[in-house]
Amino acid sequence: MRTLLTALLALLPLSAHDAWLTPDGRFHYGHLHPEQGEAKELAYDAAKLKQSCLVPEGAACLALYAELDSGTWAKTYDGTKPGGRTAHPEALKTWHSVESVTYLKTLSAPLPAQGFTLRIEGEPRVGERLRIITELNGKPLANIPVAYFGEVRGMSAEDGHVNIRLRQGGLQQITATLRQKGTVEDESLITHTLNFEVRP
Amino acid sequence: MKQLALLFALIGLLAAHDLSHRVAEAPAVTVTITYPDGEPFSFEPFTIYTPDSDQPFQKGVTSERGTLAFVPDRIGTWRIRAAAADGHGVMITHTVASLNETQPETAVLNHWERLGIGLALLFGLFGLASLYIAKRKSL
Repeated sequence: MRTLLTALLALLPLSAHDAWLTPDGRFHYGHLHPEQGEAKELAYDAAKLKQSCLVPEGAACLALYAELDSGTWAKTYDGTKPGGRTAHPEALKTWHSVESVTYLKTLSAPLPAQGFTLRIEGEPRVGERLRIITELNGKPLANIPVAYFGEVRGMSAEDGHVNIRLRQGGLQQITATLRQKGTVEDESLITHTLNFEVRP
Repeated sequence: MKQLALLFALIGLLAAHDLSHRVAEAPAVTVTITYPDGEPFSFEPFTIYTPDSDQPFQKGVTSERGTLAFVPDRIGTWRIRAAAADGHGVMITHTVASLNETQPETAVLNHWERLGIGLALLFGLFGLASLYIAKRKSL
């Protein structure tokens, strides 16, 4: 009997659009490193963007924060559709999505223990391992996939930590998504990005 | 003769909505796409491009398990793009180095082949019957 020869490619993880902050406090949404045919900057609803200083120190700000409400979405047999359970009562799943970004101007800036955060330990250099802690309201979170420039590098351990080797200098982009049971929608998704600079 | 022409026209009309098919176990490339936490990228659209063209070779929707499959017909680097409306997406490249021979598992005749066989049978039976009648008359 002839067998179906199947070339199974590795399970390929998806990446969503990137959200990032630059030192001037500007919020960006799109593709941090666009590939062929991709736009670097994509339009977003500015009315749904909130920005603040997370760690003020006198007149300075040690850590910037931005939060974009990406709205509600529904997984249907015809793909993902904008709108939640009210718009798609037949949906397989619905969720509310929020993108948040923290930009550390100072690596040691003491981040407040509120919401979903990514905290780093130490002041790493290129080529060194960076220890990242995933936290929710100051408590460590386990089993959270953490990505470095869109590539998943590991799942957080029981104490919330993940080690990532910094491969390049300049702006760093570390992202993690927290899924929680929703109230109105089936799930609530918070995708948090941590940005900071490392000398090349 | 008129009846024969009518018969052909009728058969032609019936065949207009007909499709032939062939079932084969062919060497296929399968791709499984997941979200970073392992959840399948299910029921999302994808497009596959051949190594030498930007025109789609295949379009479709991923399965419940986030899987898609295609049977390449030429060697080279194939491109697969899958994207959801909420911004999640992936562009995959896969190089096909050689093509394995595809052999049909079961082949079903198309309607022209079936029509030809049917007419041959009819004419054959008619011929046999004519021969038999002619022989009876000559006795």
